Order: sequence, then C-alpha cells, then structure tokens
Amino acid sequence: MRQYIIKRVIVSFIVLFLVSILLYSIARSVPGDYVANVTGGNPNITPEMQERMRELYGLDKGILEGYISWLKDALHGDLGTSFKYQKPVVEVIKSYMAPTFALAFISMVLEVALAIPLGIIAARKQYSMTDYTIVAIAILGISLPSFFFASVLRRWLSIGLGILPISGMVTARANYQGFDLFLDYAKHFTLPIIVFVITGIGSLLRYVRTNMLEVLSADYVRTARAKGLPERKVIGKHAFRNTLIPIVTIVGGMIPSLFSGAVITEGIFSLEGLGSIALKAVYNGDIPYLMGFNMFIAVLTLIGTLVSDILYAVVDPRVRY
Amino acid sequence: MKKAFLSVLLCVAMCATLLVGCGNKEAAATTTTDSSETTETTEAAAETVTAPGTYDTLVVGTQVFDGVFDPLFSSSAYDTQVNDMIFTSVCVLDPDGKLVDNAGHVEVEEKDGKYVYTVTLQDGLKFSDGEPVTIDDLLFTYYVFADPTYDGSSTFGTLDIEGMADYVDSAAPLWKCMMNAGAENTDFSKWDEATQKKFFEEDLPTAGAAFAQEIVDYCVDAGYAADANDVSTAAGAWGFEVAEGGTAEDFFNAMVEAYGGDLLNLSNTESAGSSLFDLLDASYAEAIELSDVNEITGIKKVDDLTCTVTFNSPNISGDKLVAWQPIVPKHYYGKDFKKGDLTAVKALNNAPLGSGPYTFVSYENNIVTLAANPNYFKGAPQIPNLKFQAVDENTKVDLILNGDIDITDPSASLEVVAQMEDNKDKASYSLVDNPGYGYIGINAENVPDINVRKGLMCLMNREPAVKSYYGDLAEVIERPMTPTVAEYPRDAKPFYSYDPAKALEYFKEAGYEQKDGKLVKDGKQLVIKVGIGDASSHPSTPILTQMANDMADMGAELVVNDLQFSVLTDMVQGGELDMWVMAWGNATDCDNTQMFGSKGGSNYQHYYSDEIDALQAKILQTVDFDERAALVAEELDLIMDAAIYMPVYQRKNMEIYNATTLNIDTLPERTTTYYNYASQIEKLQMN
Amino acid sequence: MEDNKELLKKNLQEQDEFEKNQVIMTPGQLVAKRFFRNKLACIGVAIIAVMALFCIIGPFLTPYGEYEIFYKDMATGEEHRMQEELDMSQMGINVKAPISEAHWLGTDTDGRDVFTRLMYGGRISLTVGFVVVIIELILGIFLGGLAGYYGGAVDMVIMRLVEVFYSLPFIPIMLILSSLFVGYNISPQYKIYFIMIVMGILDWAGVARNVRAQILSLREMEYMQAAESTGIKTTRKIFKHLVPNTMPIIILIATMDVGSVILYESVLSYLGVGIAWPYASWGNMANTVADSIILKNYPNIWAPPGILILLTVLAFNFIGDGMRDAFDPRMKR
Repeated sequence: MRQYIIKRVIVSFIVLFLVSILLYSIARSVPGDYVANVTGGNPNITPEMQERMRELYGLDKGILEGYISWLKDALHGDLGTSFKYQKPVVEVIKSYMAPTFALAFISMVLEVALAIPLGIIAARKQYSMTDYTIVAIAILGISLPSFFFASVLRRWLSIGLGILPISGMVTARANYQGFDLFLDYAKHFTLPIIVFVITGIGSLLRYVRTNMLEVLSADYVRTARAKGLPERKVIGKHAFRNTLIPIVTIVGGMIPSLFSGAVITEGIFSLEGLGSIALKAVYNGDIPYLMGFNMFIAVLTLIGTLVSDILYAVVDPRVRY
Repeated sequence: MKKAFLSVLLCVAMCATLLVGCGNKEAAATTTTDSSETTETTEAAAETVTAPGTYDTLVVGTQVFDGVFDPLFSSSAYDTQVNDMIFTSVCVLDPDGKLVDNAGHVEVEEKDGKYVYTVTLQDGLKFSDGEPVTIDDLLFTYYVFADPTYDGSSTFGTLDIEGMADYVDSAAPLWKCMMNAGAENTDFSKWDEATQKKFFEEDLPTAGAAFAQEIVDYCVDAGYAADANDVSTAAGAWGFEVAEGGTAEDFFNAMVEAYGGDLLNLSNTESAGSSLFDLLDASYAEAIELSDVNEITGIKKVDDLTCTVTFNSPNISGDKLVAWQPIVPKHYYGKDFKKGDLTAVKALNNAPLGSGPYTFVSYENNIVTLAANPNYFKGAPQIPNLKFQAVDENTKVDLILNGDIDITDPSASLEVVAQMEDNKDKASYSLVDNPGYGYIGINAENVPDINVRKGLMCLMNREPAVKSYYGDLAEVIERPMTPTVAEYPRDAKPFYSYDPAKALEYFKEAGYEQKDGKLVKDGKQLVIKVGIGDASSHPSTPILTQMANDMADMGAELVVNDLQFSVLTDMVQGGELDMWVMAWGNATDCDNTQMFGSKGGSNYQHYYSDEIDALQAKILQTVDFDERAALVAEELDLIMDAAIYMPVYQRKNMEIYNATTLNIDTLPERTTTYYNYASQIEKLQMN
Repeated sequence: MEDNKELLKKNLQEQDEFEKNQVIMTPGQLVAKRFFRNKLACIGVAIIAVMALFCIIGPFLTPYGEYEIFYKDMATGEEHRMQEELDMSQMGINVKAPISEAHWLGTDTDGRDVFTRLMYGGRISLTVGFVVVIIELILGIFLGGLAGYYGGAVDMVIMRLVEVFYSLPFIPIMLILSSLFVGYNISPQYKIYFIMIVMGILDWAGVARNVRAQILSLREMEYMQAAESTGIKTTRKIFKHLVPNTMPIIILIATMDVGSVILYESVLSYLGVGIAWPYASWGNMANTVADSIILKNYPNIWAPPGILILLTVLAFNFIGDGMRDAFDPRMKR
C-alpha cells in the first residue's frame, strides 16, 4: 500500500511537469501579449519602446527558452513576477487567496451539509413527491449558467429587496473593525455563496441519492430491516456508512471546480480573489500570474485525484495496484 | 470514526449558516444606525480633519485596480485616479484644457533655436510627511522616466530634449559608436585599432557601394536608368552628379560629399530600401556599453525651486510634458536611486507618498483608503476620508441609488440618463465630452487600391448606428480627431456618405466586375477581413452588419472577427486585418504624427505620404492657433481623401453623484473633459 | 381463510403476469418500460422533442434572418428592413423594440429579432452539445477501454494523460485557446467547429476514467473469466463483452454532458469567447442578463434564452436520471 502511494505521488509530479509544459506553451502562443495590450490605444508609444519592454519582460525569448527559465525558477519556488502587479506571483497569490478560499470552503461545507440529508431523504422516498421535488430543485440549480443565477438573484435580493449588498467585500463607507468587520464580510459573501451552493449542490445531491438507492437495495440492508432494526438505525448505521466513502471521493473532486468557478462568480460580485484576477490576466496576457494560477489549480486537482484514488484502492480490494 | 467526521462537518456547516444568517440581520440594521457608526470613526480622525456633517467618508466607485499606486509606473486609469489624489504637479489643466499654475509655474523662451522651459515651484510646499518639496523631486521624476530600464507608460524618454537620447541610449551599436568617434579616433578602449581601420577603409565603402547600387537598381526598375551599370543617369535622376562611366562607389562618395559626411542623415534620406548600416556586416551591430552619460544635459537645476529643460525642437505641448508631471519625493523613493536600476523605486509601488490633497492609508478588499492631508498647500480637504472602491461597471447606477457609493462614472447611455432623471431627488449627473473618438481604419497595405478603400467608406452607415446606440450622448464626427481638441475643424462636411450604388461604382473603377453573382477582379472575389472588439455591445456593430449585408448583395464578402481587445490590438499592429474598429482616448493635443506620420508608431493603416508628413511637421512648429487650425484641417482632409480612416463617433462621458450624501453645490460649477470633482476635491463637502 | 385464498390467487396471478412479462420483454424493452414509468424522464423527452422541432424547423418559418437588423423611421416610427432602399438621414436602428406582432419577443440591443435568433441560437447550442459529447465519447471510450482492459503500461500512460487533461483549468484554457483561433486566421464562421473540437478534447478525460473504472471491475467478473477461458479474440472480448456492459454508464454520461456542455458554451459566451458574432447561441443571448439595465427593463431580451437553456438542460438531466434508474435493475421497485 505504501509503495502504491509513493508511486502515485511520484507519478503526480510527472503529470504536473507535463501540465506545466502544456500550459506554458498554450499561454505563450497567444497573439496579443502583455506589451501590446498595455500600450494599445496610447498614441505616443513607439515600436522601440515596445521592443524595450518585451526585452525587460522576457517576451522576446522563444517558448522553449522561456519555459526552461520559468521551470528553473519554479523549482526554486519562484513563479516569476506578475507583469501587471509588478510583484512576485507567489506574493500575489498569497494576498488574493483569502476570499477565494473562504468562498470555496464555506460553499463546499454548505453543499455537503445540505446534499447529504436531502439526498438520503430523496432516496428513501424514491418516486414520491418529496423525491421529485428535491431532485427537480437540485437539477434546477445545475441547469442555468452561474452568471445567470448571480445576475437574477442580485436583481431580486440586492437591488429589489435591498437585503444584501450588491457587490464588493466590505461596506466602503463604514470603517468597521473587529467583529463588525467580520459580519460585514459575511454579509457581502452571502450572495456569492448562495450562487455557489445553488449551482454546485445538484451533482453532489444526485450522487448521494444514487449511492443511497444502491445501498438500500443491498442484501445487508434487507437483513438489517428483517431483523427488526428501527429505520433510523438502518439508514444511519448500515446504509449511510457505506455511501460515505464514495461521497468523500467525489467531494475531493469538487475542489478544482470550485476554484475555476471562482473565475466567474468573483468577477460578477467584484470580489478581489484569485479567480477574478486570473480572468484579467488572460485578457492582459500576464503570463507569469496565469501560469501560477493554472498550476495552482492543477496541483489542487492532482491532490484531489490522488486522495480519491488512494481511498478507492483502500475501499475496493478488487482494484489491482 | 466516520460518525465523528460527519458531526464535525455538520457543526462547521451549521456555524457557517448561522454566521451567514447573522450577516443578514446586520444588513438590515446598518441602514438605520449609520449615524452612530460615523461618530466612532470621526473620533479616530479627530487629530487631523473632522467632518461637519453626518457623512465623513466619500466613496468613489471605480474599476478594478492594478495596485500600482505610483504615478511613475501606473498604467491603468483607475490607479491613476488614486495617484492624482496623492500627488501634485507643477501645473494642471483648467476647465478649458489650458495649462494653469498649480504648485508652480512654467515659462518658455526661445534661445539660439532651442526652447528652454523654466519650471519654478512655489515656496513652502510640503510632502505629507512634512519634508519640503524642492526641484530635486521634480528632477527625480524626469530621471526615472528617462531611465534606460524604465518600463512604464510615460513617453518622456522619447522627447527631443538636449542630451536625452544619449542618456536613454547609453548603449549603441558598434558602427554608430565608431561613426560618432570618426576615422581619426585614438581611444581604443571599446574596440581595437584594426577594427576601426577595417571599418573605415574596407567595410564602410563596400556597404556604401551596395547602398548606392540599390538606388541605381531602383531607378532601373522605375525606368529612370537603362541598366544597372548606368550609374551616371541613375545618380542624375536621384539628384547627384556622377561622371559618365562612374561606379556605384563614386555615386556613394558624391552623396557623402553632398551630406558633408553625415552618414546617418544620408542613409535616412536617400535609402532605396535598406539603410546603409543594414548593409554592414552583422558584427558591427553588436551593442557597446556607453556608461559614461550620467545626466541629461538639457535638464538643469537652477536653484532649490527652479530648473530648466531645453528642447532641441519646438513642441506645441512641451509645457504640458514638462510641468504636468507628478512631483515625487526623492528623499522617499530615490534614496538608493541610480541610473539603470529602478527596483528600489518600484518596491514602493504600494506605499505612495506625495504632496497631494490626500494621503495613502491602505489598499485592501478592493478598496483604496485615503485620509485628508493637513499639509496640502491649497488647504486641507473638508472630507476626512476618501475611499475608492472597485465596482462592476454594470452595477454602478444601482450602487449610487442604493447609497453605497457617492460618485462614479457609468458608461453613458440613454437608459442611464433616463434612470437618473427618474431619481432626481437621490442623484445628479454630469455629461462631458470624451477626449477621444471611435473610428474604422483600413490597412492600405492590405487594401492597396484607393478606389476599393473609397468604396468601403461609402458603405459605412454611421448615423443610425450611433444615433440609436447613444442618442444625444454621442455625435457622428467627420474627421479623425476628437472635437475636444481645439483645432478640430467643426464645420467639416461628410467626406463619404452612405451610398451602396456609389460604392459599387468605386469597386468597378478599381477593376472589379460582377460575375455569377460575385464581385471579382482577376478571378478573385473581394473579401475584406475586419476586426472588432466585443461586437455584442459595440456602437459600430450595426455599421458592420449593414456593410456585410450590402457587400453580400454585391457579391463581395465582409468577414467580421469578434475579438478580445488584446488580440485585436495585436492583429492590428501585426497588419493582419484589412479593416478594424477601434477608438483613441486621452488626446490632449492636435499632434497626429504617431497615427498618420510615415514614422508614426501607431500608423497601422500603413499609408505613407510625404505631403502629410510635411504638414504635420509644420503643425508642430506653428505656434499661432488659427494658422495651426487651418493646417490641421488641411491635414485631416488629406487623410480622409486617402480613405484610410473613417471617424465614427465622439461620445460623452458620464459622472453621477449621490445627492443624499454629497453637497451637490460644492461640485465644480463647470465639469468638463479636463476638470471634474477631483480637480478641486479640497472644496467638496458632504451632508 | 377466504382472504388468504384470495391473496394466494392474486399472488399467483401476479407471478404469472410477471413471468409472462419476463418471457415477452427483451432487456431493452424492460429498460424502456422502467424509463417511461419515470414521469420526470417523460417530461424531459417531451421538452427535448419540442426544442428540436423549434430549432430545426423554426428557422424555415421565420421571415427574418439570423442577423438581420431593422431600421426605424425616426419621424413616423415605421419599421424598415435592411434590404430596402432607405433615406438614411432619418433612420435609426430599431433597438430594444417591445413585443409586437412583427417581433414576437421584440428586438435586441442591435436591432435584431429575438425570436428568430432564439431558433438559430438553439440550433447552435444543441449542435455544440451533441458534437462535443460525441467527440469526448469516441476518445473517452477508446482510451478508457484500452486502459481498463490492458492495464499495466498502457493503463499507466493513458491514465497519466487523463490526469494531465483533468488538471487543465477549463475556463482559462478555453479563453486562451479561443484567442488562438483568431490568431491563426480561423474565420468566425468556422470558429464554432474548432470550439467544439477543443471542448471535446478537453472533456474526454472524465469519460475515459469512468469507462476504465467500469471495465476494471467488469473484467474481474465471472462471466469474463468464462469468456477468457474460451480463448476468444481480444477485440471481441473488449467490444463484445466489456463495452456493451459499460453502455449504461456511457449513455448516462452522454445525456448529462450534453446539458453541461450547453452550459459551458454559455459561460464561454459570457466571457466573450464563445460563438462568434454575428451568430446567435442561447449562451450569448442569455449573457445580456449581466447588463443591469436590460435585466431591469427588457425581460423579453434576457429571459427567453435563459428559460430555453434551463428547460433543455433540465430535460437532459431528467432523462439521464431516468436512464440510470431504468438501466440499473437494482433500482427496480
């Protein structure tokens, strides 16, 4: 087992290396680099100035040469300097990751906390009105693009009813401190979290429901029922436990999608997190930051896959290492 | 184990739900307890500036910052907005766009054909940390802008200031160094004697002969000379005298003589393709470090409050370029400044310090917080706190109406104006002309036939598109220059009006014929590739729709590429498009050389005309306004006639104000393109 | 006693019926029967049928073109079409027109008929959905099948490839790639095909993973060991015995993914890199919702595409759910 894990970790590094090559070459082959972008529209910029800037940013190097120097620095923990922020990428990621992580973490916890009980209820009452309602609502959430939900919900809750802030992270006018500040954050994050939960809960809920259905028709559940255990115990002790592992593996897989979803939601609500600045980086051609962000997601994804694979192997002895 | 895990999970989830729930209640509460909160904050600000009214914090809604709060390097307009509050400049613009004194004064006088600007600072100015402002601080700004490693957006380093080029190009190719040193040079520290000898005795004459031969070949192609050996006739056509039977080398020597040995000038003027120096061996292009230039000779300190800047040639906006620059404290930014290394300056990008009306407090959560500067030379601002919050363009109006922010600038549209009119009690607005214009450009290299270009111009139906998109908020303009520039010819008539029949005539004149429903010339269909950014919400989109339709009717094709801005820019610069839709912004003068001059860096239409170049040069040296305006009108007519640029619209910028929190009467009487609330922020009051 | 007899009789009857059914119905029919018992799934099928008709036949019936703009006489308010000879001095473009007989859902911000664009947009959105899924299935089944069956080095290589593709952040990559299309001179008309191919290529990893996992466990089943002992050809083993048994999961993934691809297309359009102007897709029509003025004043512009996306994706999900329940005999009531 330990050998398997070690092997998988090594393999993950190889994958990461391949991913970085792919990401770098894609990012670099884009027409319209950072220099063209910042200087575009300014009638006073001369081609010589652009050339000089390209040299300074290392954009005059070829893709391969550029990649090698990027990789060298990356191996030393230096992801380069963001063109746009004029700061080391690691520092940029550090200073913008708090809102992104808060959003992702809280949304994930809420999704799990809502999806599990609702999924179980739906499974227990398969084909009932309750089942239909729960499933329909869950699917409704994953049937509209997140920007659509966000806009409509904001129109209704923030602009129409005025109970939630329209955008931003804190109330600018007030100079909150301490706990008030915390509440202010909470208030501003409510709507984005709602959007995340609505658009993310559907798949998890259905997964729970299907797994539960499978387990409920298993022999050991029938046995448990037959020996007269109360339904609560049958579900809680016998059925649910057996669905938990597959659920944990899928929750691990949700992390990357939460982060790439941030690219859109953060932008809509003017939250300054990793996602919204990544979107700008694409438009600007800020390659160092883009590489940093993409690699960050890649690492998260790989960790998620690794954990779920290992769990899978632990649970299912039929899988050969 | 599993149970424990689940219960932990549930607990966390419940806590989160509770918190979110509390947040909601808080939201309802804050609206009613505004006054109690503000008393708290005024206490904190008591030692500096206190607000007389209920509100003590002005919130300006802007767009996302790059976080470069340093006027020397900021490139985004939103960062600049913040920097303008923290820094001052010697002069500023008045409501009419004229340069007026601010923290000092600038004057120009002509001396021996050179133009000397004298900048004087007011006495007694102080930075927000209490240190006095001296001329060294302004000189520091100049030197950062001119630094060889400078990568910001200022063009100061390209100005024709005495000694500037030497300072900026502290490295030059070997041939240039040797050329400057001359054949008699005896300093061989950077190259050896043999190289120098070989250069002047062998390689340069060889290159010269090749250079001359190129001219001869050109003349042969053009029919001025019989064959490649007929140097004498070719030289005659080029304006030089070479004896019958002379060689290319003789021709070159004749040119050298005519130019008095100024080979640089010779190469630039006479070239028939390659520059003289391109014809030299590649080893001569190697860069030689010339590190001995440590100051710009044209920039001189006179005393603690005065300096002079000497321009080699007249520049109609020289005063702006010299005096409308931020004064940056050298004692703070430039402690370790030395030429060629700006890292120490950049390290302070997020901790600005200046002498403006506000001082920097923090930048977090997408909000920049500033506090009133009690040392401000026009008197401390009346609003103690100023915050800039990055908000989404789409929510700006709602944020004002909800009272979250106080001032912002949504993009002007008929609906926004209507919404403002509906909420007159809550908000007010101002409309000013945008100092720029939208246009459709044509690349004359890709569409070389002027009749095709003229035909395309006749297919651009601008009026309905602009009218329905902007209503009164934009006007169709007829010449490629923003009407906010005083020299713009306001009485100009449309050059090409929408007329598909006429367009077809032009196309036919260019040799196109309609065959089997296709408009072809030499068997090739007329296909025009046009690029536009964000077509789904662009005012020029309907123009292209109509154009595509009309061209399809004629049997031609308009291929529309909807692009991201950076890609569009790149393709335009790379000359990959036949036609493109773009806009210019931030124009402050009538100088068009970058866009239309033969050597202009932004001449993406690749149309080169000596006539236009000559006019432009004349415009830049014509100080009398009326005379200059007439020349500008002439220049613009020439550009229109070349059918390379179709100006489309000049729109208005909008600024909206929260009437509940702001004392609207303290806003400037006249808000213009050059002058808004920020220009006299120290006078602004809140209720 | 009487009751008991009755019950016994009834049981027997039921058993008879049951056995009769068992005999008559093929597995496919059984699945279909179970499927159509699910009301939501039936609704899903109905919705998709209506949408398909709307998008395929609709464009033939509308008098207007997909990107035709309408002019309006500023003085009289009379509407004119693009092809007419017009005196342009008093024409404006008929933008954001209200719902009327001529324009059932009004016109959009560029003065084009919303209803007509909905039909054309649906064609694109549905095509994108299906084509992308077909591409990802072809790649995913092939590679997943190989990996699952052969294991060892083949599995190792393919699964690492899967991980590489899994780790590419979809949205940033699509943003970058779509500007590449332009850079390499792909005309906007064909851009959509490239987007489909790229989305298919980026998406296959999920299918491959699932197919592989399924085959891994199928391979260990007794019937496969039996098949193996008969010594049949490998291709036959994979495609006759293994792949058909992964069919339920493949069909399931396919239906679900059609929906999610339609959503992804709309997100790409929202970010400005989806279907190129002037072509319509539900996604690029729905993203007008982001404009707060349109959101507030012109529900006829933003709501219809939103509703169509919602219904379509919902329908595909219902069908997917119904299929899963129908395929899996353990879910039988």
